[in-house]
Amino acid sequence: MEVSQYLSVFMDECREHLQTLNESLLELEKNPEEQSTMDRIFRSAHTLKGASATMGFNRLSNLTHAMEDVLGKLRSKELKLSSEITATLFKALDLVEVLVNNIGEGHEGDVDTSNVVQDLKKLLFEQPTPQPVVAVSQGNQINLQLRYTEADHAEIAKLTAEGMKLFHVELTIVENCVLKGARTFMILRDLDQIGTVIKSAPSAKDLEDEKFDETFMVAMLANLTREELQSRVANFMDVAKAEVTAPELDKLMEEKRTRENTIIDKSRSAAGSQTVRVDIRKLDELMNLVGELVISRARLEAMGSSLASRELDEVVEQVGRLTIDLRDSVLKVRMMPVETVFSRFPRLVRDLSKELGKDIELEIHGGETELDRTVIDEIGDPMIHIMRNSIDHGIEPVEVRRQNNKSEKGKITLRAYQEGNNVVIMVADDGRGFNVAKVKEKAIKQGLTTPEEVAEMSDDKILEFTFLPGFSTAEKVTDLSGRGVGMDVVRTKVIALGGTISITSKQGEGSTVFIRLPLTMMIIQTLLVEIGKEIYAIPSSYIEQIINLSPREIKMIRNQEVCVFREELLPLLRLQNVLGTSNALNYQLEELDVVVLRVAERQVGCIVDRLLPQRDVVIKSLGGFLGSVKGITGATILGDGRVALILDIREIA
Amino acid sequence: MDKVNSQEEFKQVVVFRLGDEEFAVDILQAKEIEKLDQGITRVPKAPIFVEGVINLRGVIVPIVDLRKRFGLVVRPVGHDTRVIIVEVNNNLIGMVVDSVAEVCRVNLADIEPTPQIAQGIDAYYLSGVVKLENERLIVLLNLERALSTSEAKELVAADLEV
Repeated sequence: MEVSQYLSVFMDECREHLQTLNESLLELEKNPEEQSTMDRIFRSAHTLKGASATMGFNRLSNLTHAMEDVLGKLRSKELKLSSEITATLFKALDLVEVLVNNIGEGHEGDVDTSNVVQDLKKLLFEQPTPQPVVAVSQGNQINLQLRYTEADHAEIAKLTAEGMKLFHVELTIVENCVLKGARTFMILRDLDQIGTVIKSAPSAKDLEDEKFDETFMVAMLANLTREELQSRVANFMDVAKAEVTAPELDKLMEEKRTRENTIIDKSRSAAGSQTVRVDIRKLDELMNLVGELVISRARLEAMGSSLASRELDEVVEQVGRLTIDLRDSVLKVRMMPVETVFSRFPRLVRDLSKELGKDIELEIHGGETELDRTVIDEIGDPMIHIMRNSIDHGIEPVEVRRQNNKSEKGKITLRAYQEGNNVVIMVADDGRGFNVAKVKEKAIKQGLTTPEEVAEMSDDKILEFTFLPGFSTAEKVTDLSGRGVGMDVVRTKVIALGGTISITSKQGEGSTVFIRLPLTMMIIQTLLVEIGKEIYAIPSSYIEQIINLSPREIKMIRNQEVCVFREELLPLLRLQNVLGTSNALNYQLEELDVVVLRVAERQVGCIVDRLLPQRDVVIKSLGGFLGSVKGITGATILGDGRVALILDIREIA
Repeated sequence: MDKVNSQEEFKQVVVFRLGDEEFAVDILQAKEIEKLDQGITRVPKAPIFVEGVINLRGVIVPIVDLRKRFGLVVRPVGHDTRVIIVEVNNNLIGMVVDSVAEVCRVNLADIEPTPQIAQGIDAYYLSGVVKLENERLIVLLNLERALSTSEAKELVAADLEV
């Protein structure tokens, strides 16, 4: 079918719009007067309607059409946002999601949309239309809001440090004023002589163009008291009314912060239109080609050094730099902000907390932190699980919180940040935390450990039991989580992505889950080692230390070679035996290089023939024919074009 | 079967040699023919007939020694040794052969079913035999079977048990 080639683009678009609609609706719920949000949400619904009609999905287009009607009335202020409207719109959005998913699976399905469409239509007629006058004044109010930019804040901070004070001046000029534009220009100039004008609303340009009624706002700093300024402004020509207020700086800063915290950065969504959709496979291809280029460069380098030509060396060096830049850019193209995952959660928190009768606030930081697309695609579900755990089991019901002298509003903080070659995602709640004693008890009861072992464990260590399959401390099995099939699935997924997960918790104060993920799945840092003329790559993340050993220090205990490392016995492994490599040298060497690897709590020393440099390598699959080979996670191509295998340390150690 | 002289009555095959015998694969499956001039990286614990992997312009391609695969006498790499890169079930695989002879057109009508064992190879891995002029006998390989993973895995087990 002709349509099918557009289907994937359509699906992508739908998901994007769904996201926008969900986010904007949440935002609108908090600030119903925000016109830009209103505009965005309307545009999204409109596009969605158009696209689904074009693709011939009638149910979807009918549904979105009904939504668009309601949103249109909201936008034109003919309707006022009520909790009933939001609820209906959210319901409609959920239905849209179901429809879109069905379409993705190849059929629109027989989902009944008529009820929701009815509900939406009902909304259109139920509310009396408010007076148009009110609408106009509302419009004005928004116009008169002073919005400070980053630079404005810096300026304000600088000048207040010099002793000046910030004032908001609301000016109304006389009704029959001629040349309003010129008059406001004069007023602004005069004000600038008294102090420093930071901003006006509408903007100075709009004022000069007479794009305002009679009233406008000015933010300025001056070395005067409020009263002094008030009296001076009141004497301006053609000014009918002047109202000077001194806003509290703290409040301004607070406002600024909350605005920064809202997930959707408005400037970003505006810039969002300048993107190109690219199939991820094309990027993989591009990455392969860049890899080839790196290899060719290495050959060129080798040739250059044998010719000893300075001119050639220069060119080779330049090609080298360009190649690395190119590689980095391609990698960057694959990166996406974690925001794309985080943005699902405000809705999740809203819905679940409503359902459970809890009051929960979600704070999101670091949404701009970037991760490889592959990781982004995979991390969503585990994150949802963790969030649900926090909402359901972490945050206590309101009454309990009150009894425990905690604020009634629970708080979940979602934070992402980069730490070296990793990205850390943190989910913290201020709920009841884990009962470590209970975890202990349960671990012993399930035969996972012994009382003696537990006695020596740290709390964090004990909490690791919660990641084991079938382990759940929830007493009451709810619909959401606590069926004991939670955290082990999460952990498996995170490990499959090359990451790690851990929990810290303090009873009564809350718990925090840390997920550590590699920046990219395509490139990892490895240590290259030589074993019997063969080169293998060991992922650096497993390497604890590299030690030097004399053969005399090796002892045999129960047929196992060991040595003493940090005052403990370290089992030693000769990799050639594991890998079946012939001609290994290390039985003849005077000094042995031992790579100490650490997998979870286990440590093992691998004796290699020779250490080669650390390298960032591109991971490649061995292909479907070989499938998974025990002990090998993949392969990579070295600078000289040879293939080196990457060891699967979890398998080997 | 001697109907109209249409395209469909012929197919082109790549003919190669293992020892004195001639084999062929459908040209549509053969992607390219390479010299074995780069080192093969051995893959530990891979099936015995898998020589290892090579880098084919950025793609890791496993290399299968057809002699080992069919239990023939193994020969060292010679001047004429080639790797035929074939695509089987969406995977690229390189087959090491003693030499590549030619690309030729065979009449579909000339393809005969294989006897139980042809040139010392189980008929299961073959799709037919073609007799050309001057008594040349070309054995057509069934790559899906000859290079199938599941089959390969069974073979590994068998080899180890012996």
